[in-house]
Amino acid sequence: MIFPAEDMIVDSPRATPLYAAAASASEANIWTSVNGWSLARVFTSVEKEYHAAKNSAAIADLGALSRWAVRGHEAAQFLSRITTAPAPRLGIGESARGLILDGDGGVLDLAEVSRLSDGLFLLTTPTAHARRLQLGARGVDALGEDICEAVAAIGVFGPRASDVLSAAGMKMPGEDVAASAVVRGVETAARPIQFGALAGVELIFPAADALTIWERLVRRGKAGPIGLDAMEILRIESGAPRPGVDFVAADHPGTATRRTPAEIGLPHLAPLDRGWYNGRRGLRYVATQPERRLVTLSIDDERSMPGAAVFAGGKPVGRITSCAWSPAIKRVVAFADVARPVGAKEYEIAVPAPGEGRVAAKLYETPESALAKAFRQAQDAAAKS
Amino acid sequence: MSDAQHKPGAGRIEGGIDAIVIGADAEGLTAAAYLGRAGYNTILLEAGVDIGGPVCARELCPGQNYIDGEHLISILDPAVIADLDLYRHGVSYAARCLDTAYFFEDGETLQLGGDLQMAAAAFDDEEAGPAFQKFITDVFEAAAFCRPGFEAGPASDIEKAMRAAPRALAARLNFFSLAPAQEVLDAYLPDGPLKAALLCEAGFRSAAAPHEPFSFMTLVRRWAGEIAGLQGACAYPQGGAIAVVTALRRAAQAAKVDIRAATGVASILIEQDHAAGVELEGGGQIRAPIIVAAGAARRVFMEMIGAAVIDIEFQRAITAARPKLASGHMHLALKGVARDEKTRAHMNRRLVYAPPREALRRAFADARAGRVPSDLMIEAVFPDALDEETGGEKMQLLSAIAHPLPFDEAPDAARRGEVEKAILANIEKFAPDIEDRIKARALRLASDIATSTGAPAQDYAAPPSIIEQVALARVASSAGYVGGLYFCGREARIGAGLSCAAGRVAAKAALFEAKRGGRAA
Amino acid sequence: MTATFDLTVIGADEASFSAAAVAARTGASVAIIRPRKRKNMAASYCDMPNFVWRRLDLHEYGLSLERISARVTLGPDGATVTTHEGVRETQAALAQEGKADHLLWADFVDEMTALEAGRRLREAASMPKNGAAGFSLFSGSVRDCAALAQATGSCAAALDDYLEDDALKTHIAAHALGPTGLGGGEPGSALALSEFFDAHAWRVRPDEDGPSLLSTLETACKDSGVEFFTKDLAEIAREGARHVVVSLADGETIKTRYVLFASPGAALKAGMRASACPLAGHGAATAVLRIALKRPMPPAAQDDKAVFQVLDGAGDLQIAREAALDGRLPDNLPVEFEYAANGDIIVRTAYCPAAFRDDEGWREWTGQDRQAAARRMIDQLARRIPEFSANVRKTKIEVIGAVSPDRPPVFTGPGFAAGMENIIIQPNRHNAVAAAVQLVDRMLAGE
Repeated sequence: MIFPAEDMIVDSPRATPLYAAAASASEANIWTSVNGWSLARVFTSVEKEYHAAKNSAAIADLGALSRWAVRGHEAAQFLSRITTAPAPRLGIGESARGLILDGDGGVLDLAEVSRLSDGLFLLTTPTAHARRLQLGARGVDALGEDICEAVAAIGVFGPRASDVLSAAGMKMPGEDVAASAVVRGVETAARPIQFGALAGVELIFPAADALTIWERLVRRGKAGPIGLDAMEILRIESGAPRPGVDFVAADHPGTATRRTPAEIGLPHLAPLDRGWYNGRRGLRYVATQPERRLVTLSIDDERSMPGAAVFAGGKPVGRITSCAWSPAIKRVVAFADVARPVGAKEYEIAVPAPGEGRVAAKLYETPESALAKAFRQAQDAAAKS
Repeated sequence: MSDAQHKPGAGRIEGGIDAIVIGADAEGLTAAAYLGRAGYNTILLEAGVDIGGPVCARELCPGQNYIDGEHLISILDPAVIADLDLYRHGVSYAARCLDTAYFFEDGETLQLGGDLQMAAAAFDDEEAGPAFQKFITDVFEAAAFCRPGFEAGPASDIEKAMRAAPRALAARLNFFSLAPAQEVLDAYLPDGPLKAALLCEAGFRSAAAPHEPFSFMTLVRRWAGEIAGLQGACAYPQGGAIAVVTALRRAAQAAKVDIRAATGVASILIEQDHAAGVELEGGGQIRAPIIVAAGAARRVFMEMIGAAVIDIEFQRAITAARPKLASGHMHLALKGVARDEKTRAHMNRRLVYAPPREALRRAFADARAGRVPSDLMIEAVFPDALDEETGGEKMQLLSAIAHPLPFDEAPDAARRGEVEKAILANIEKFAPDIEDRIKARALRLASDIATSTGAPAQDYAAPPSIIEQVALARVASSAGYVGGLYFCGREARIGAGLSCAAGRVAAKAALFEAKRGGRAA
Repeated sequence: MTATFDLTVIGADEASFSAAAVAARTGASVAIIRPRKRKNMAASYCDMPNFVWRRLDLHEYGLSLERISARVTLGPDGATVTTHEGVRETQAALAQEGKADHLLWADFVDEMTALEAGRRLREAASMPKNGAAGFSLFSGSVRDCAALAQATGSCAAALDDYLEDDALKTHIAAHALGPTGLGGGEPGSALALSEFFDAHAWRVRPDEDGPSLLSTLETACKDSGVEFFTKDLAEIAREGARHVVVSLADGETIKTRYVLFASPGAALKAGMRASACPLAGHGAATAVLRIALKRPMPPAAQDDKAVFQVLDGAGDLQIAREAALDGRLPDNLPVEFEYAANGDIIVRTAYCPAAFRDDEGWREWTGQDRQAAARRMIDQLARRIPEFSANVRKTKIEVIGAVSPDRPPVFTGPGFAAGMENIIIQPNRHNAVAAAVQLVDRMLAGE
């Protein structure tokens, strides 16, 4: 799951249930606000947190994401209407990623659906979509309940994630399935998640127990907290576009740009042959070859900034939408929104400093772009046969 | 499915069909006839027993029938008449250009010829005459210009036309489309009976009151109609409005359309986001690549397809609340032939009772609040006087439409009595003592007409403002992007009255797409 | 003697002065015609958009802006609903009051603000020359058409579709429709929602003892070379294809390319009917009452920087609207009030009849009617504020938009109906200043 763009205007942000714990752990004391919730950008240092997540384990406050419990006889149909995730095909404990599309096939948001029991699903989205859930439930026997206020959520990432959980006595029934259980008197749901390329577990539990569980993970599990800035590097490395940064939601007030799943590099999340979802018919009307595509680039430079122009074959083709210094490859990794030819491999990036010209950039394969590529190849093969 | 197996046709799959039309009202018949004439093997399915939708003949009392649904035609699409050879299939006009007599509360009357351009030129008033002429010229020009916009046709055509509109016309269209009828009439005409009459015309059979925004378009829409080559006119077909439906049916039959009554559609089959056929209520399937649906959008999309598989945005638009207002039809069998000279003189005209401006405004407020207004607009005709073939010796029929009435899902007897009393009181205003001559009466409210066609009552409520209808028609005729599905039901029609334009446009779109996609028959 | 101007603005409110000053600063020659008598009853808050502030450099005149702290509706039995301009602040307030709709609030505000079709409709309505733009509504995409169907519907239907809580719906209807005098059941009244959420209400505070916003704008006009005519209007006539001649009461004439009435009140005063905009609210007048108190009282909801509405239920708006159109003062008059800097209370209502009707027919407002309106407005406040009536020391009332039934309007509808498409009349708007300035910009750019 990915955080949406930070709030443009910080309008008295609310404290998540984990705020007190995060505040006492934060040495750097740099905060931002996401969806109106306060969120730490850095706890100790970005690089330290990044390496901890990559090599050991890190815990993050995921309370700023929007969460819904979806119940009802037709909960699965409802979810497959709202999102492109194949909810009816999920077994108990399984999760699936998807997109939220409008009727014309424009991307509104990312989504993740988990089935906790027969008639209970969990829907997680970067931003809230209350109206959409209200409308989507009309004529369908399902009800979505916003549980953001009632629960706290902690993500545990990294290769040592499961050790951390066992040490904290939070070992959940299954390794790779979502489940809910009462752990030491606290009603908790846990489910496997991916943050970027990092596998992890997300714990969801009543807000009142937030500090106890955080404390347990830190003390006994010896996991350090990770802030938004380090997670941003992990995100770009993994190739997950960020709503509001790398693309703008199709229903955003005043936006004229609508992006299809293919244009944001996630065509594999909305295949036309998957069961019904909102916007599928609209997508059929859209040209099969996208005019633009969001690509991940690695840039041989240390100073690139969002907004910098991207060139291909000497011509300007787009701009960088987000970027970060990757300590792993010692380059800047970036998302760039580029126009045709979307298949180009070599790019150049304008460097902001005067007289410095351009630096070379290459397409950078991420776990996400690999999925998209495989999907496109399979599609082309199917079209040929 | 054990239940279905007992029914005839259950489990049977019928193929080799090119197109299915659901709903055999005038629009459905039109669409089917167009498809049939293009050589498509077409089936027309009607859930009810009767063909023709709400327009049908009913018995008022022994020896006297009336035509339910519509009593005049004014916006019937001329292209449909020409394309389907309706004249050859039996449409002829008993009265092709009805004059209108307006009656006012103070006893005054005003007569306007059926040819409004001529009526304006001949209007005998120093002040109002030239103003009326300018008004008719301006509005007729705008109405003719808007005509494609009232057919829910391809948006690109209209856009092209709009861009080409001269500046002065564009400014006028802008005013006409947004302003209340009252403002437009005030801007053009001096106070007087003419203005009061036109104000009524603008509010008639619409949920938009003449003092409220967008209401002038109601009149523009009516005057965009053309009957027998005469713009803005009203006609009475030989045999009544049902003659049009009968001719459409003959046209469809001549085009080898297989018309099946009492065959309800349970669901529309969709495969790969493309319509693939229908499942019948009695079980069994008919498969076809083209489906034209003429029912109400709620019924077609929410029930035959299902909320779970239509886009949320589309669902919101087609299920949005509609105004709670309706018109009521009243048919009276009158004893003997009218004796009073005044009525006799008016009998082969269209008679309109026009309440004063204030009363009209209050009537809309009352109706919207669920009260029966004391003042109502009445449009009445004496079909027997217009159409000598049907005239009886001892009885005479009066058919009237009253507007605005509150919309009731299921009115009780007390409410019906109240409505009937109000309508009669307003008819009395131009036909005094008529009550004594009534031998039989039939009150047909929106809910009655709906019941007889098996549709929800809401389908027969008064349509919202023309602007809203145009916007909605465009959404509805997109059919939620289901390929091969074309919609010409309530929500795709613009204006009140028999039009058939939606059926024509839906069929034409189906033919165009089929040719382009290589799915031709 | 005939003076020639590019633009003549008729009116004496914030929107008129802002539009005139901005036009003058862009190099146009501008005249303002304002009526002889002038009471300073104008609103102490308005939408003062940043771009107007910048273009007039209002900070140089010692003004400062302060946000309206809240929108409050005082309902029956002490029930109140409060919303703020900040979406999250409102959500928190609604959540605290236990309203389920708080989750939908952000989406609701976004959707209403983004009702692009609504904006185009309003623009088309106030800019008759630019008719084609408005009429292209007929040819939008499926998505545009769905939005248009919503925008041309009623305010009540839009609220019902979205929200569940009746008190909240009443609150929104009261604040969004209040300035327009509409009932909420009319086609097109949904536009008031999009406009309400699009506008930002500011209270403009002058320096200690400094001039008010209105006087400041007047100064700004004079500094920019706007010429003032403090005279009554006699007639407006067309001259040639491109000009309009405005005759004043003393026989003086002004030849001008464009005439702008920045508010329908000014237009009605000049005997002209307002525009075709669905928000025009024809047939109603606005009454403004300034109440001086005997002794200071604690402000309602302990907030003297909020804007308050007194309303029992959303349905009362429609009833009041019908009464006003009937030529009566509504029994349950919806009123809006706020606290002036000196502690006075300013009460406003747009639900007064433009003229009265009794057995003999239509008649003009009389002194007695004004008193009756003032009394009713005080009564409405007294229903919510204990011991209010006894505490009223002095009142001053002004009625805007009253018409004389005997005097026929110069002409009605947009100017082109009389062959004068360069006359523009703005309807009542939440963002009157922004709208007037934008209109003037487009007019002078020759659109």
